[in-house]
Amino acid sequence: MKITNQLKLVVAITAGITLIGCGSSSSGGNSIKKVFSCTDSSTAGARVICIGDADDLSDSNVQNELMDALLDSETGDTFVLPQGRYNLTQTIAFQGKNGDNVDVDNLTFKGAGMEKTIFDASGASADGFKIENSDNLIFEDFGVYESNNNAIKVIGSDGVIMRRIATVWETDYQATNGAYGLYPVESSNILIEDSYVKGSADAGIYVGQSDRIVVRNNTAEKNVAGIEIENSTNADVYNNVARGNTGGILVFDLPIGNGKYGSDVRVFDNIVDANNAPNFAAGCTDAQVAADTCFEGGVHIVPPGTGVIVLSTSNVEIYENTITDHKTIGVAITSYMMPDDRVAESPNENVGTEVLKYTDISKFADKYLDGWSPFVNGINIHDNKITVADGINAPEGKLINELLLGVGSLQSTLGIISGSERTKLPAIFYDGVGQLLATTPYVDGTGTPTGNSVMATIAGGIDQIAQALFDNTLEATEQGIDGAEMLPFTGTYYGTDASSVCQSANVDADNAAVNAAAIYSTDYTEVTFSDGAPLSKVEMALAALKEDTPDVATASALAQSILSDSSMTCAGTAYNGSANSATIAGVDYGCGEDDNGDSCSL
Amino acid sequence: MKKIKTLLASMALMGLVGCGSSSSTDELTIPTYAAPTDAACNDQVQDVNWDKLLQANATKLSEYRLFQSQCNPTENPNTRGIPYDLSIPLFSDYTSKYRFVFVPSGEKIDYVEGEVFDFPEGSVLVKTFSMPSTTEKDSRGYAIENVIETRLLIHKSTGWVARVYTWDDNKLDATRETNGKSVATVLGHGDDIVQFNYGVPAQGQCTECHQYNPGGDKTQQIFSPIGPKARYLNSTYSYSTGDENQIQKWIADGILDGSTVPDASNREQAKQFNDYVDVDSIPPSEVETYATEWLDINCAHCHRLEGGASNTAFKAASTATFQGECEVPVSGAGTGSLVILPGSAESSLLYQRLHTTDPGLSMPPIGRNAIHTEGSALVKRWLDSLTGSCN
Repeated sequence: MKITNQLKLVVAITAGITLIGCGSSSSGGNSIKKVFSCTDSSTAGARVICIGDADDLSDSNVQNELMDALLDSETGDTFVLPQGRYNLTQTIAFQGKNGDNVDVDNLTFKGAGMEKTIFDASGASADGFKIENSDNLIFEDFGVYESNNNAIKVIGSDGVIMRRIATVWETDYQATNGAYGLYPVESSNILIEDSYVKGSADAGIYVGQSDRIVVRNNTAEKNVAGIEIENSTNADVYNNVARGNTGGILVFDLPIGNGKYGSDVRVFDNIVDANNAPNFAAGCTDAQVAADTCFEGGVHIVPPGTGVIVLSTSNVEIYENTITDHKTIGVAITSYMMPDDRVAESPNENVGTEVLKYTDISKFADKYLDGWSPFVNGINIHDNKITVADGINAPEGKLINELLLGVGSLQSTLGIISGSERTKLPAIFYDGVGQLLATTPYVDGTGTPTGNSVMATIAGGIDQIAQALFDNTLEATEQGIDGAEMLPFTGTYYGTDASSVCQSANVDADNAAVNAAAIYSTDYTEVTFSDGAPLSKVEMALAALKEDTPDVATASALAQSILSDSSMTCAGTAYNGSANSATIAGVDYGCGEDDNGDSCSL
Repeated sequence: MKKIKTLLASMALMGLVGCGSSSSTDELTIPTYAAPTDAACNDQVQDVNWDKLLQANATKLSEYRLFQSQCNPTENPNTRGIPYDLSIPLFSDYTSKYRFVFVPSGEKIDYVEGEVFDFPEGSVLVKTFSMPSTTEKDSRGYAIENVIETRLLIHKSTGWVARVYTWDDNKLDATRETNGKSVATVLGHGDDIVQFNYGVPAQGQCTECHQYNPGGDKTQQIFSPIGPKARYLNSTYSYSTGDENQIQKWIADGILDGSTVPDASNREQAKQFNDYVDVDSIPPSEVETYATEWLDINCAHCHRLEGGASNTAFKAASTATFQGECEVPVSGAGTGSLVILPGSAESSLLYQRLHTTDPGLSMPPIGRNAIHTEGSALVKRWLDSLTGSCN
């Protein structure tokens, strides 16, 4: 839409025309020869529908025939997409029912190859393909370019295969590129393989709020996030290449309030290389940052130069990956304390009985009651090869900036690192603060230990107030915080088992053990608390140097421990994930199912 | 008052000069529209073709014989057709919307609390979208509008199906369209002239908005109308026979089963809001109600547990389930803005998505190509008025 401004100017071109006029280059794509090579079949349950005609492969005819085919679809249809590059003016949308309101499943969209059949979706207002509520979908051998939103979005489907699909935004590092390339969400039994995703301003491959996932043999490059598994369970991510993204592979669990939270993810045998791109996701305005009103959980916080990030997801095994040439961090494991430390704020006990929102107890109370945990446990990082970028000594990124402010100068001042050191950060970075708070005994106002940890006390307080609210006025389902999720002091997670977040046998290019360290000491006896909040190692070191008689020895030890400490040494039983698989139309995919290759035997 | 400016100047404004686009300096003028004269329109047999409707396969809209004049789908429905209105309409690029409900003889609608009424098999909802020359009240009306499309929701034995008919160039009849259509539009709006492409949806897009997944279960997807809920129908309509409450009228006319309808005092009721309600005149104590009800009709068919956007952090149903304040966006929002930041519409993703037409960002994702300045002003006033902190 164009609208005149207050000066009554007319902007006389439409948004669509704007994009066509000024949008992407389509270099290369337009030279694809249009070829129709298909024969219809009317075999019941396995029909083949040829899209386009031998004598009409115009963009509009191909689009219209595909839309009509979906309206007239029957379960089991295969839509054969012709070779060539075709401009879409509409989202190819299907919500699981044909034009006669009959449920349709088992659809296949098949092109001539991901470099031969291309849909340019820049003329569609939102997604390229948006398919919902239809089971056993197969997308195979085609490309979707320049979508204004997502390239292929699938919602609410059980059984999704995306195989040899390309989703591409041709202009590099452009914030106006679309969000996700391959985007199954609220779905289950998902296989994404042999695909190519490039240029997304969010994640190239994003699987969200889903279960039973196999992502393998794909290449993700020049996206903000190469591959992201978010709020999802039972995922195997293996034998992929993530290169030239801002962050290579992300495993996130965000407080979304939908009751869908992630765990049980394995990331193995991937090549995660040189993900040092600038973070070009549309983030916050300066004003939002200044006002501290910026949401800090999105991909815009991913520090450029990060190989793998686990954010507040538990039970994650990261092994046998080659994680090379990152300028910031090889592997980052962090609780939600890093983006937002209000996850550990004390409950507001003065919330009245008339209050109708759990969030009045504490900012994240409703999410805890929904089953979300801000912390990580059951993280096992082993047998990876991890190197930092040669010659690059420039860790950056808001996620870690505040914590690491001055760490380099602190370390060099104290002689911990020299100018020739290639990085100031450990190859494996762990925030440690969740573990710290979950193990720090809570001492009541009289100085008496209560027998609970700080976090368990907070959780208990939220639980108690929530129950009181519910009993009085709150119209909501009765809920309670899962104590285990909140890492009670007496549990088996952090309290007694140091291996719950652990690393072993990770080596650099010279087969030497890599540095791994926590930003907060995980041992509460070593930590200074200020107004109830723990100080990070950096803060404690700086405080030691600011004393009347600077305590250089303590500061040096702390500065050294920022590079390397023993907090993540596997001492007990480490988390070992089991193979995850996807079952689609009765066929099992994944390690031990259709794949017994090298990755699966690691 | 000069309403015209050149394309070139406006392109400069948008920073688009140099993109190689047309350098045309054509001026825009507000169009005028005229409906075909009655003489050109055949009067139809005054009886709906129910059999044809249930087949839902007519090529021409006139085959269904829904209206006395085949040219005019905005008034005089044939037997058993009743016009209706919603107290807050879903925004459709400033089109006038003419709605009719047809219920087969002997059948009745059941009242449903909170949700869309339960329509008997054979029911048909007919809605015509017609573009005025300007958004002024006196620019409205069939005689001076560009009638674009008529959409039918037909309740077959297997559930609701959608059919879209676009009006022929001569406006004498409408033809079935399954693949959508783009209609270049110039529209006077206050002191401004806006230009956009009105989008007739492809049939396959209908379910994007018209889906209802009970309990959030996508496998139980039901195709559902959006508007005919008690709270939007519990308002006065000016019938040819005089003003009357629509629910009372439906009961009196025998299409709504009165035994299923609660007492008048117990019927839910939304506020009246349309483009001619001055947002600033709404009492502060009622702004939230108006705004959340506007969000309900415009967003909640997707943004609710039972809708297509259940995976997002914004839930718009105007009940206890409303969710958005201080919520973090979840999927692909491409921003660091919270869904609602109390006190700042500009920093709230909700408002940002309403107050743009950028493809890929604007909401709803289909069906809106112009900014609804009145609706977004209402939402802005509410968001700006919120107190509290997300810190």
